[in-house]
Amino acid sequence: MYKIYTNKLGMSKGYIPKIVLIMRLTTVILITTFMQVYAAGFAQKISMTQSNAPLKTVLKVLKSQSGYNFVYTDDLLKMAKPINIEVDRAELEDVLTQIFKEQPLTYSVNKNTITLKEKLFLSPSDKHESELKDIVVKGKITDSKGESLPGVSVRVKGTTIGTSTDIDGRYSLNVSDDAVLVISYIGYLSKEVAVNGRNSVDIVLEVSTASLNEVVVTALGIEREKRSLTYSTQAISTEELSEARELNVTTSLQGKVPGISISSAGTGVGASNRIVLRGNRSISGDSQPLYVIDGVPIIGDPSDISPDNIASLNVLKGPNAAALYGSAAQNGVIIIETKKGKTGSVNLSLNQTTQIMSPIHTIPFQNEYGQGIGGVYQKNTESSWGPKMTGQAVDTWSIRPEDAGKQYSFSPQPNNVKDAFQMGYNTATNIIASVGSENIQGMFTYTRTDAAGIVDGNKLGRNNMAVRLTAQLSKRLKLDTKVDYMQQVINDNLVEDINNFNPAKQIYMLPRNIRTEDAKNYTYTNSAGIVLQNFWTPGSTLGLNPYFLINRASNISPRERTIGMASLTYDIAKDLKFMARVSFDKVMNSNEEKLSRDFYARALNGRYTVSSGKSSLFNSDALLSYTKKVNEDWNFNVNLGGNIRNDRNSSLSSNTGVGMIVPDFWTLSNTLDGITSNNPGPNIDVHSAYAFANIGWKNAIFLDITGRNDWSSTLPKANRSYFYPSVGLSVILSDLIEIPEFISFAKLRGSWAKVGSGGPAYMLNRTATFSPGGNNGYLQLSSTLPNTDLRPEETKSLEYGIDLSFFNDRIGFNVTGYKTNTVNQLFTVALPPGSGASQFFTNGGDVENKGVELGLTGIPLKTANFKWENSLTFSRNRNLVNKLNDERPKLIVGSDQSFRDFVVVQGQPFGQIFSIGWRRDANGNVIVGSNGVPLNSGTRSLSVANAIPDWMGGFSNTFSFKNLNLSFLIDHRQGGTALSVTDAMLNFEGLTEKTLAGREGGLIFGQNLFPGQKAVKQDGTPNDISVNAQTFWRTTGGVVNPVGEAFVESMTNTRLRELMLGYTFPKSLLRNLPVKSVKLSVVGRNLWFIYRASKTIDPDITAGTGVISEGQSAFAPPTVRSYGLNLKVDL
Amino acid sequence: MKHLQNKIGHRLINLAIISITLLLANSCTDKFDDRNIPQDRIVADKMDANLAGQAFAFAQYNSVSGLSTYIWNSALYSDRFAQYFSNIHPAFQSEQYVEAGAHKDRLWSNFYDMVATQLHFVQEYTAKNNLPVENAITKVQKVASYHRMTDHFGPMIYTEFGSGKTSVNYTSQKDMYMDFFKLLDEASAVFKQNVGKKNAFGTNDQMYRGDVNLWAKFANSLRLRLALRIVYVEPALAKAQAEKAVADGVMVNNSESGLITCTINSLNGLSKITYHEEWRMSATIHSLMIGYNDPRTPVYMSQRWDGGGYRGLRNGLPVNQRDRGAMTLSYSAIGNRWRPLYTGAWGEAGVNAPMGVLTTSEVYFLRAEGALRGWNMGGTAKDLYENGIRMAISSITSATSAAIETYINGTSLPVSINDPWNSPPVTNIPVAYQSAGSFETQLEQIITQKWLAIFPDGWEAWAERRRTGYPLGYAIIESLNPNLTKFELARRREYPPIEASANAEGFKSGLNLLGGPDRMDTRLWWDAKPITSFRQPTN
Repeated sequence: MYKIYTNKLGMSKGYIPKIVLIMRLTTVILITTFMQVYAAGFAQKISMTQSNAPLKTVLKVLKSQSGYNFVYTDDLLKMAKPINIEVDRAELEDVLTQIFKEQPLTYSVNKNTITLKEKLFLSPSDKHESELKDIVVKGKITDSKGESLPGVSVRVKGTTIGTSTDIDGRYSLNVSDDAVLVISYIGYLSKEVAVNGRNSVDIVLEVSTASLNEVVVTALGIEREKRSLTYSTQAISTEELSEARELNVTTSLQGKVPGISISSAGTGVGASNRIVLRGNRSISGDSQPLYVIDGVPIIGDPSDISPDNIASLNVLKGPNAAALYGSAAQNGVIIIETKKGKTGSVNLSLNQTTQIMSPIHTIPFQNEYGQGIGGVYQKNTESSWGPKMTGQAVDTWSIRPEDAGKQYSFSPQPNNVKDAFQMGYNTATNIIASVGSENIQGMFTYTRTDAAGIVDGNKLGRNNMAVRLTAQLSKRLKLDTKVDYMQQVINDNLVEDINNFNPAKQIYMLPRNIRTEDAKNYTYTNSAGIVLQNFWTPGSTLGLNPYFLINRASNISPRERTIGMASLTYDIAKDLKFMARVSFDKVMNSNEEKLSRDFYARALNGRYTVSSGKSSLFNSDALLSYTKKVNEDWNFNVNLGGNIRNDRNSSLSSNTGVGMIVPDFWTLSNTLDGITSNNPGPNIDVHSAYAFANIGWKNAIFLDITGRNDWSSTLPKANRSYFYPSVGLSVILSDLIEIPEFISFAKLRGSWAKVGSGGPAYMLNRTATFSPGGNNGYLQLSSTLPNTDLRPEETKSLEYGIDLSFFNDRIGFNVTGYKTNTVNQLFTVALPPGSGASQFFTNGGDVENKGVELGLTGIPLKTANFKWENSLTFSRNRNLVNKLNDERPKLIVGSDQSFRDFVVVQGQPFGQIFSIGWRRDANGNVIVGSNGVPLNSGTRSLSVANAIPDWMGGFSNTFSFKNLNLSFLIDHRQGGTALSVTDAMLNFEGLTEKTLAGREGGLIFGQNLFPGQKAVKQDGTPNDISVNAQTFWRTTGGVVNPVGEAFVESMTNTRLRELMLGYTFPKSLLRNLPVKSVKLSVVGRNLWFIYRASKTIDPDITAGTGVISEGQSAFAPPTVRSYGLNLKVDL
Repeated sequence: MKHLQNKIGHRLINLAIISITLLLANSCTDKFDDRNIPQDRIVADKMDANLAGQAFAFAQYNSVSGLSTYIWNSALYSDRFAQYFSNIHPAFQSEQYVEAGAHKDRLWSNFYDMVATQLHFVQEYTAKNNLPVENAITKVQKVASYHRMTDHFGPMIYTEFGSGKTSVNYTSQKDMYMDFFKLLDEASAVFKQNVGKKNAFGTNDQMYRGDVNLWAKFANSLRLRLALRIVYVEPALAKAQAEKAVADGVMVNNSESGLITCTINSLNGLSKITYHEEWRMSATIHSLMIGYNDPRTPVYMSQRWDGGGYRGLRNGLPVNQRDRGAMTLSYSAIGNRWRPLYTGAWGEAGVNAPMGVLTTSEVYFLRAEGALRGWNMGGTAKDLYENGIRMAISSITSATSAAIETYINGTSLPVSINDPWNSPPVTNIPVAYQSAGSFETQLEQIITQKWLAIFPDGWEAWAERRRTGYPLGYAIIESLNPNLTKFELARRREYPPIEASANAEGFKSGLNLLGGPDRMDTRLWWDAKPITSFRQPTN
């Protein structure tokens, strides 16, 4: 198999001498990775004869003979004079000198690219000069990442005076003190800066939006010019990641990338996210993207990585972009490059962020009626269906002996929920030190993060350390190696969902008359001297005193992660490189939970749980690359690679169960019914061979072809090997044909890809599980039937788009359309339990996603000192399950305890949420029973919600005025619905404003209750039966089988996601300080719900990050608004 | 120099090609098959005989509701319909005759997954590997497990079980019962040929530790139970099967009782959930046991936690009236025998009591009923009835023989209860056997005492309440089921929703065989006592 494959690429034995032949013809050229290589590197001999030829023609000849690329704009060429030249086997350097001698143009060389620019003359005869005071202005020109830019043109406005920057990006110029400098550089936006008598002016240039040579990191860490890409990709500004910092770096992508959908788990500080690019695809999997750091796939997501260490972050949304990462990439790839040391400089920078996090309370509680049932006070109920709270004296609920016989004032406690939350904080300190010589560059970074959540006890402490070393070991051998180490401890992670241990749930369930000061007395000592829980409903199955829960349940989760990578690249010849790389990601998680005595049924005498898990992912790669400029028009690049991926997992968990013998003595042996389980976890090996080629024509048409073959351990022998290809084309129209002047750039692109996947492990055998029990243990046969004929699943994807920019890049526009079909999916089909198994593994299905993504960027205003930039993103995704399984057109992917089934139905969008719904007649009227409450379906048989949004958009603006810049991001989500079990349970207990109406009766369904519904009685006449609020909500809501249809909430919302105000201190202020630059920013995230369709939920927070968490709102903690300061100092 | 570099280049290309090839070739995929087997599991087709015993053990334990399933299998349904317990948790409306949602699936799915699948596997395994005694035991276990289920639902997946198909047809209850008798015939024949032998299951058998003689008696006793179950629909067959059972030898001593031994790793399912405090002793238990001054009272019930004494709670309370905080304290919880092994804030530690499948005392009551019907049961109805009481009380209390005889001859009547409903006595029969009473009076006495004896086996108790109408019980406070009044008893459980969704075609065959709507008021095949002869509670 391997042989056949290599032969396809022509890499047979017979081919090798050809390469060598090419090499011999080619004079060996040393390519260094560093900034500039001047003419010393030119080695091609040039021969040509031209008379009165346009410069463009001459350059074409030069390009074909030298293999060098020329970068220029048409404006520059218009300035050029015709050329006469005759050379024979001359050095390129000499030829260039000759050509440009008489031209108003000059050039600079960077690697194999020659950039043309306007020649600047110092003119001593200029009249203005003598009239004004001369000063020397010096400075450094860098890009937005702080990389120095050599060869940048610095000109005095309105004159021909100018210079260009040196290799370190520095310039020096004699100017008048009121001069305005015009700085321009190809690929970057030009900038005008007033000198204002300063001696030092540092300038940061920003990349032009439709820039010609913007470089992006693509698969396998290969940097490519964005213009050549055949698919859409999105780079994220890394500055924002560390300034408006989030504990989980992926949260920062919210609103910035069209086509991305992010929801957060409600576990407090350090919560993980669910990220989906371009819609759900996988019936049984989770559709989340692959994360790749420095060219190497990692386990899961990078939630614990420090944003300070990120040099670039790119989102490759479709499988087209990702075909080369193999199976794991079928849901898209997020590519992160970490920072490296730089040549020739010692840099030290400090970054300090402090943010305050405050809860945004979204649930409207009622404050009129207190504890009780049927309007009568009951001190031992969890309900607030009692009498009106008018300050009357009632018996205390407290069972503390000292409270016996006490009474207290029965009055509303509007703040008892708010009181239970606190302000949190997030502080991070980062130091980055980098040093580099010509041959070796090192970088060290350390970040310390401390955070506290809005629930007492929920804390995070994290250390991130990374060391990276890049070295030119010899002229040809290059080393890149790094270690990232992360160590984190989270205390009291918030439990999610309707779980009793979710503090948010117990807080929201506070009866409306419970005084905070009373609830805070959460324990009492009984006559035997035992400390027990003081709660209004002793022995409750579901309820707990929230303060008892917060203070008496403790949970500590340490986590360690190490990501290591070492790669060696050998330049075999000028065009031929070989790279070998090994990498690993190892994650060790552990958890220790202590529940004190008297958590009722869950832990009468306490419960102690210890668990740990480890996961590791090893990747070994080898890659051979060959790059060749065939002639003036053609160039190509061919790569051949192999990969071995070993995925290993295991976990161990043990707990005392509820049978602790000695209460609150924390050891696993202290129990009568301990439970230990060891789960080796899925172990998967995938071996791959791949090849890819890029072919370019006139640097304007690009063709990409990839092919990959995987062998996966998860599949049966016969189907273990599978191949998948991709092909893509991009055309830079603006370089090929005459287009109107106002269009500065136009590109068409299209690509098609197929990605295969081996699916999950362990589907080929029926197994049996041991468990303790009886006298010798129990054995249980698995209820899943194996399938020995499984085939790999496939995603086929088609993507096309246009990138345009107008008026010298003042307006940029791009649009991408795509369609993906994920077919042959591996999933389990439910069997009747009586068939002898509950499910079997099968292949099938066709889930289609199609959509469009738009991006519009603009610079509406730009003056010397002021600039306003904005960008608008829009995306919509349409999802349809074309086919599932003919025998089983409906598949329940997952269910939650309370009231949702997450269902995939043939012919419907993915992820329909089924629940109990109201029974309706043939005309769609809700049928109301004799008690005034609608009849319901009894089972989760109705599709009542779907979380897929209609569209999503983001609008960001940046205003720069001198050293100040202000930016904000607004994002909007339109459509999608969720079921709120929070509302179902709070309404059941009479806690929300919604339960105020009709306490005395008089609610008529379809009239003043759910007025949007048409309702009839069982005899078909319009409903006029009145019902009281308690009867209605207690039969409609609750935790056991509530009517889901009554609790559907819209997920539409608009929010001010991010706001930043930054000030870079002028150099003049820092003159006496040993610092290079200081920037202070005020940042805020999640500041304001501009619009929220639901009165109760925040659609961003779901219970968990699995696919079935979509469209679920279950006792999420309040949304956190954060604001703070960021200080960045470069030394 | 250039030449040398080219030479090195040449070698490096070769090296590169070789290393890529090696990377792939080395990646021998031979280990892939092993890699794809979870290390903590056993591959089913590579199992040895000893492990079949452990699969049997799992089914045996779970067929009487293991700890993980008890609440869904027993506590919320049959135990309430039997009127052993009353619900104080506002979330559950099952005893108001409403079944809803995913809970409906649990018993069905648990049974097929945890019991039927294992028994099917063991039955096939023992047949294939020439283990006849073990095969016979598995058949008896199969009857014991399946009859409980069909008595809940009616027609079920039975003969087609294990087909692995996406649609599976049902078997009628009558056909299932006929097959039960056939399986018992087959098993008994094997037992007769292997008298006195132990079997390979050994201590994996949590009931009889592999004792063939005891299994033989159990099989005959089970035959007797099934015979009486069908007495109103197949009286002749019932008589024949019952007399055959007694002639072949049923259990006579408490040491022969069919009880599942519970261990620390397989706890008594009821004790595993009692600390949830979601229900209280029923008013029916209260009226009978307090009225009879029953020596078992302190074993079955604990005294009220708010000040002592016993009080039972009526079934079927509307959700609004379930004030858990107060009711937990003011009504009796279950006795300590069935409380957890550890002490909590309330009550004392339990004993991890064995779980009853079919006890010797029940066998005496079955024989008493047979004798009442004029069958040859080896004794008179009165003697067998009294023996049943003796067996029941002596198996669970340390009451003296004199105390037991006093109870047997007791003439006190059930009491009324001081509760919000002013509940009158639940019925008017004493313990002392009324040989001169009517057939129905004697039957009521026999079944009522059996109901007390087999506590807390709600499965059997509810089946016998449906078959005979006894014990009378109270009306529930409120029925939410339009097809059942509060004075009526649920006749079956509705099929779980999973059948309509996962087995739509097969389910249709079940509905046809059921012969009535899939509702709780539809009577099963054996539930054939003329409706007019049922007494209904009036309060």
